[in-house]
Amino acid sequence: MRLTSRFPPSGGASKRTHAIKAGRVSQGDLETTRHEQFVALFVRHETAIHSFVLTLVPSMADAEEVLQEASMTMWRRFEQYQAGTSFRNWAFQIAKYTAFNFVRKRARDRHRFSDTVMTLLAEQAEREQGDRESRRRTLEHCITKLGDAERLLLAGCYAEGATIRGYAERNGRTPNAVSKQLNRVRRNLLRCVQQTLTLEAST
Amino acid sequence: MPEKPTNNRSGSAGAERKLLRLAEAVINGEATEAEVAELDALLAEDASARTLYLDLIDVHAGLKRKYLSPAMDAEEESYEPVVEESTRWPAKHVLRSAWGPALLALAASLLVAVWLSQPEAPSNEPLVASTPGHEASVNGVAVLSRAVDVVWSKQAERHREGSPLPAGLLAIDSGLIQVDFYCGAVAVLEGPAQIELRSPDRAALVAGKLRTRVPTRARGFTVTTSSGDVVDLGTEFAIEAPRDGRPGELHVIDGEVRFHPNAYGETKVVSLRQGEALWLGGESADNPPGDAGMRFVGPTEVETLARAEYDQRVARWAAHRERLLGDPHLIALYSYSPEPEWSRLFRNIAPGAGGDTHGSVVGAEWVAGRWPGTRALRFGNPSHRVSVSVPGVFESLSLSIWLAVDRFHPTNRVALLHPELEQDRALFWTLDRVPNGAVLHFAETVAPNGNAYRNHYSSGGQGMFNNDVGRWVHLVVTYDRDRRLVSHYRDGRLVGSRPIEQARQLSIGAADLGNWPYKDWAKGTQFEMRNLVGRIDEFAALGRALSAADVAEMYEAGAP
Repeated sequence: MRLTSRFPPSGGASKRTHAIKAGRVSQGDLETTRHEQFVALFVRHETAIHSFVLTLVPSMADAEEVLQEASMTMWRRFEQYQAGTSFRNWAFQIAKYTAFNFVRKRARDRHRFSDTVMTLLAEQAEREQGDRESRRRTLEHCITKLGDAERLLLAGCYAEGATIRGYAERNGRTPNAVSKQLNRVRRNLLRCVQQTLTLEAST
Repeated sequence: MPEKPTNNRSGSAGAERKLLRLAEAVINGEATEAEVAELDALLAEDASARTLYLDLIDVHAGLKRKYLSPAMDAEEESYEPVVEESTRWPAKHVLRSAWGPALLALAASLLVAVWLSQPEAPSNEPLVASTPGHEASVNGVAVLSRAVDVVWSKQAERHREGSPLPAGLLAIDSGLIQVDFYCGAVAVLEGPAQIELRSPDRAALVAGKLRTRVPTRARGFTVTTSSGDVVDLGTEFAIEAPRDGRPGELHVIDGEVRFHPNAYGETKVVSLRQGEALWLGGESADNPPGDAGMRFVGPTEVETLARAEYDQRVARWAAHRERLLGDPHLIALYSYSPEPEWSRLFRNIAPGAGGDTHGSVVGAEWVAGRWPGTRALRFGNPSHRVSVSVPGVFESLSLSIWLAVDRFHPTNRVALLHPELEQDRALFWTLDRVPNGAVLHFAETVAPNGNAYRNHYSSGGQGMFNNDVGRWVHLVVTYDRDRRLVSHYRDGRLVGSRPIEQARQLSIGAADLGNWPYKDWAKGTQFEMRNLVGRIDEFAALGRALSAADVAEMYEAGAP
């Protein structure tokens, strides 16, 4: 059954409930629609959420796990989210909770930030969200200025499940050399973002 | 006040470098315990250090987000997601952002992940439940097995033969439909009629005539009417619903049924056997309705009628195909031809087509096609493809495909037609995944490996739905240079169109059907998965823009 999605998720809910009681809409359809609402919200704030998680758990391998777990938790608790309030703030709280839990539980936890620093970082990240939006857009612009070799490197190291070690092996290089090149590319991008924003601010 | 990271940073260049070095080690997963502690101390004491750290993390996260999605990297940087106001997917605003395609991909992968986590999913079949395409069959209660000359009522959903049917109302103004309930009961409904499907073994006849055959294993199948419930005990029976004060009728054609009246004072359960009949509401039991005779169409007759109608449709399709072959603008028509399968050819049967334009079948195998005696190519895995080569440069173009998606695997984009890049021109025709299915996407470029912009034309509206899985769907895209319009069609209907701002000549050239040609470097990467998992039984290209009427006719003639 094809349903037009309702977005934002407020309104219409009670109508649908009646429809269910009348047997016209199956539970599955309702689930799908609710799910669409969730995906729409999640996708809209995905970048911010992802950045936020990486702030607290910067290692690539760990971040994927935390993000996955956090998004699952968001979905499971989506009914607790109040339509009309900030989804991002709500999602950040879940992400923070998941990240703290993750670093506490893991055996790798001696490689973790202290609770103090994590709290400080989370606060600052939340506070600076507005500012960071423009940085993200600028980054996209800076990436287009990279050369082919650099893009291949990024694609190879940042693809889902990719590791620096794996990329180095496939390309007959040492992980150390790949790390260094990766660091260089990231620093260039960081510089480009900062310069572009400074330029924009001064014109 | 958040600090402006660029101009307000305290700390020396040396301290910045140290912080960056430590943060990079952490990001790359190479940091020692001591290094993490050192970074922790720096971040704890200095807000500007945290700002720099957050800036670096933003770059890191941005890259992660970007390259998580193969579409961005493999396709181009110039991707300009196209927005149609008509899009059915809620996240319109997302498509406008620079992240559009990546987010779509992520949404799709999240969708799969979320599906796995749904508590409603049957726990013993997690894989089935996790495949979005199975949604309808999971939620369905029956299948529409036959539809003969049906006119669907406006107030209810239309369905196609072979579709899973969810619980809900089915309403037809005329014609016949046959509904196979999951419990095994087979019901034939004769229009005008309305029936509400309630569960795999229960329905309510609101209006019209119904005849049901119930195998022994489906005993207990129940049809509710306004005057009571008819419970079957393994048999065949027919009901005409009471209407406008006129009583309805219940006839037992074979076996036994029980009738549970729901009117006051009529609490007695009535048992009826073969040949017996009963008024539903009103009339006295002493004067039962006359013999059901041939007044109710059953599954056997439906089969005969359906077959006759089917033969007509095959004839109509064959006639249309002859007309298509006579079209002077036909560039290519790839279709099954009766020849040894080892020849591995997907033959271009367009008149005058050169022998070198036939498609080479790689991996895909021949299976039953849309029509009896025809065959389709089934694409099962990422190596399967048909490589074609179509010469010519065109001002306007139409592409048509009959395909059945067997599975939406976790990818953000499925290639219908994907070009080799070492040519002067290239065009791309793909299904771009959204949570509910896919939007249709067409793009063209000159010098695909150079820096020329690719022009993108998305359908905006959805061209495929998750519950299309397994069924034949007709997709068409037309590039109309005269009207400066690219239009996408699904099953004969316009899904969306986009204006052409920069008209260019088009050519198909060397390309793959059902996959993309980058075999080597894509191996083992995410990009490998752009293949179709499903069947193609016809692909046509015309050097003119088909009109909406042409496309509708093409669909009507070709719909199996």
